[in-house]
Amino acid sequence: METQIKLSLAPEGRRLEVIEINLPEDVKTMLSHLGLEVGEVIERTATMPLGDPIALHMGGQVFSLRKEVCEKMKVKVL
Amino acid sequence: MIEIVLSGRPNSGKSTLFNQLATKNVKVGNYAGCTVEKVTATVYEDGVPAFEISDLPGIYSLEPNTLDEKLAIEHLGSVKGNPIVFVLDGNNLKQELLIPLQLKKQGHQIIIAVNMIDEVRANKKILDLASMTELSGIPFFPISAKTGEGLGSLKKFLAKTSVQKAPHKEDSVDLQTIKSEVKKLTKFVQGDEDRLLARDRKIDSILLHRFFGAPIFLLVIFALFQSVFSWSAPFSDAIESGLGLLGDWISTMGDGLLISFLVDGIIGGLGAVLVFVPQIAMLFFLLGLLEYSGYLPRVAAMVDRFFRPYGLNGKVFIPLLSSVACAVPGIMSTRTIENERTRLIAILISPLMTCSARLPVYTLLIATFVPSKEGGWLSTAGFVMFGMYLVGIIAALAVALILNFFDLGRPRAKLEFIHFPHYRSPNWKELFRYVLSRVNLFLKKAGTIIAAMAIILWALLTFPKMDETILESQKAAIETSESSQEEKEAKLEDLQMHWDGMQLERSYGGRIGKFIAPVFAPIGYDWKLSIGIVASLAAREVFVSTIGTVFSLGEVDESSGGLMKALQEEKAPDGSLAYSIATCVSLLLFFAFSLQCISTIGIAKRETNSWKIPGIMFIYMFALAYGAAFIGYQLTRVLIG
Ligand SMILES: Nc1nc2c(ncn2[C@@H]2O[C@H](COP(=O)(O)OP(=O)(O)OP(=O)(O)O)[C@@H](O)[C@H]2O)c(=O)[nH]1
Ligand SMILES: [Mg+2]
Repeated sequence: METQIKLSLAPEGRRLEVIEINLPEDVKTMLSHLGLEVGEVIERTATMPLGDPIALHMGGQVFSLRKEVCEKMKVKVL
Repeated sequence: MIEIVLSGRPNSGKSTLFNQLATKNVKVGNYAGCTVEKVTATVYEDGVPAFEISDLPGIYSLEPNTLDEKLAIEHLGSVKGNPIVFVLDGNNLKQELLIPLQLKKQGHQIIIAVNMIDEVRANKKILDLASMTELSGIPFFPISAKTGEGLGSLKKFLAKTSVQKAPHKEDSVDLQTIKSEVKKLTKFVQGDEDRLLARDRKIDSILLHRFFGAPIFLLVIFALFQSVFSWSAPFSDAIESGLGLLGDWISTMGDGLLISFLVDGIIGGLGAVLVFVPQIAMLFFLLGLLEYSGYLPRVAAMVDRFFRPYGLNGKVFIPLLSSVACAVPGIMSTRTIENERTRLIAILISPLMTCSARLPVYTLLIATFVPSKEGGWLSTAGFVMFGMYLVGIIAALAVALILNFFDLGRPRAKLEFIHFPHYRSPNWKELFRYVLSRVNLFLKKAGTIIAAMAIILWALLTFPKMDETILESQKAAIETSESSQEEKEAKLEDLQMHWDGMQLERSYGGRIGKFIAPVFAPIGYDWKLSIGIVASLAAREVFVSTIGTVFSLGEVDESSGGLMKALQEEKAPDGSLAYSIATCVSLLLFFAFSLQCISTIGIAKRETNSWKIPGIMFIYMFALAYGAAFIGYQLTRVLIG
């Protein structure tokens, strides 16, 4: 079985399935508008030079999210 | 006339389409949140008005998260029945179709413009839009707002639409149902490769590189300011010589009041400002290039971490960079910042960024007082100019740091994110039109505020006229004296200079200047500079036009080398040089920090709905300006003498 890791620790360039989002409901809703929801497949495309934020391909576009937010999500490397 | 509304997710190409349909020039940029307010214009079909079209800020959902989204959603709510053209990125239908389908269910009349069809093709995707239209009952139009493809048929269709009287509305809109409908529609998309994304990633790996990312960014910005300075120089020089020749030519026609008005008031004052048109055009052109590239939002993300200790975030970067052009659009673009607290700080510090109105002042001062050394493409003037931009940034960060200690009574955001668009090439035609429109705006400002101030100041500095009979009798005395012709001429010139200087000092303007001069004496300004400072409270460029008039009036020989030379050679009452490098440092610092711009005060009032913030802004900036100028002046005098 694949292991689940924090999104903030996920490798770049691999397909990731979102398993768990531990954030308040309203934040979850906002993320869903960007295409980030449990069950969706996303990808980490880049990391900013200071290690934070992290750029993610989700819902057909790329958005950067802060590391503190990514730490609250679990993904499975596909 | 019917109003048709453009809506869509941010950066989907609404404004590009708007500009194409209505032949307008609203701002387009390759980043989310470029448009922050509604703009309406008329679209003509065969020369007759066909419909009105409104461009709105982009939205990520129907639940607003920022001020600009709120404005867009409110407008959508207010136009029930009007056609809404939902502009979307054809590469990303799965996500982009959610909002238009929701709107349709809420009873709106929806037309879908599948934009960026050129990029869809580059991605080798095939969209069966006919089947989508059939299945959804919503008309789908393939377009490329950038190239103009498909706009003809969209426009024809829109010209025939009308307001729907009793729109069909479903009671509850379930997101799950919508998602399954989107799924059915996206079955008509062939190919799921995103070649552009792969290309973006390669570019990102360089521009966002762990070690090279920051140096590359600094290099880009440095090159930008060097170019503004050096590339525009030949054009500015040409304008300056042209105006000089014009002034000389007019001077040959006599020396009455009208001639003085034209030469000293109009050419001396207004002309001093017009010289800067090339620089301003260059600045807007280069900023425009950056805005089209898609690099800016990435820089915003890069600086996010760096900005956080200051109570700012990456999203502040674009307003701050816009403020390099002008604080007015800069302050407006803070609307896209989710975090209200951060937004307020951003509004308060935006005017510290070096705006294009400071450029004429800085350029004049640097060119006059900083010894120039050229090394090919680089120049000392360019370095000092770059330093002034840095001073602005450092001051902005310092003020933010201080403000961050206060409880500003504004909530923080729940989620902050930045959209990375595809890297794109500029839309050259649109960019040139944009630069032209900005130059136009500058000329308008020159033609109104600056011209009015130039005329008022010319009058203030010219009247009351002293009794010229005294001058005439003294001249006659010299003429009839025994000295040689050469001596006589020298004496006459001396007399005229003395007279002109006295006339200037005794004019209303001179008296006002002398009255306020003590306030500015500690920071090294005599009455001439003081009056320039006071006049420039209306707009910074007025400083240049005012001292242009002051020194043009006081000058004997009009063609003696222009304003720069007049400033360099100006004598204090004791006969020493009036201005030094210390004066220059003091003026540069004063202009870097003080809020001399009526428009900025106005926009801050509008964006915060009170006079409190603009009031605070004006006072803290004036205090900062005076303090910095004082320290700068005294320190430079001690160090350099
Ligand atoms: N390749 C391509 N680029 C386009 C097209 N339409 C717009 N663009 C580019 O997409 C970027 C965004 O365009 P805008 O018109 O500012 O988008 P917008 O929807 O008004 O964006 P916001 O105001 O931020 O919501 C710009 O760089 C445009 O040049 C198109 O059809 N094809
Ligand atoms: Mg727009």
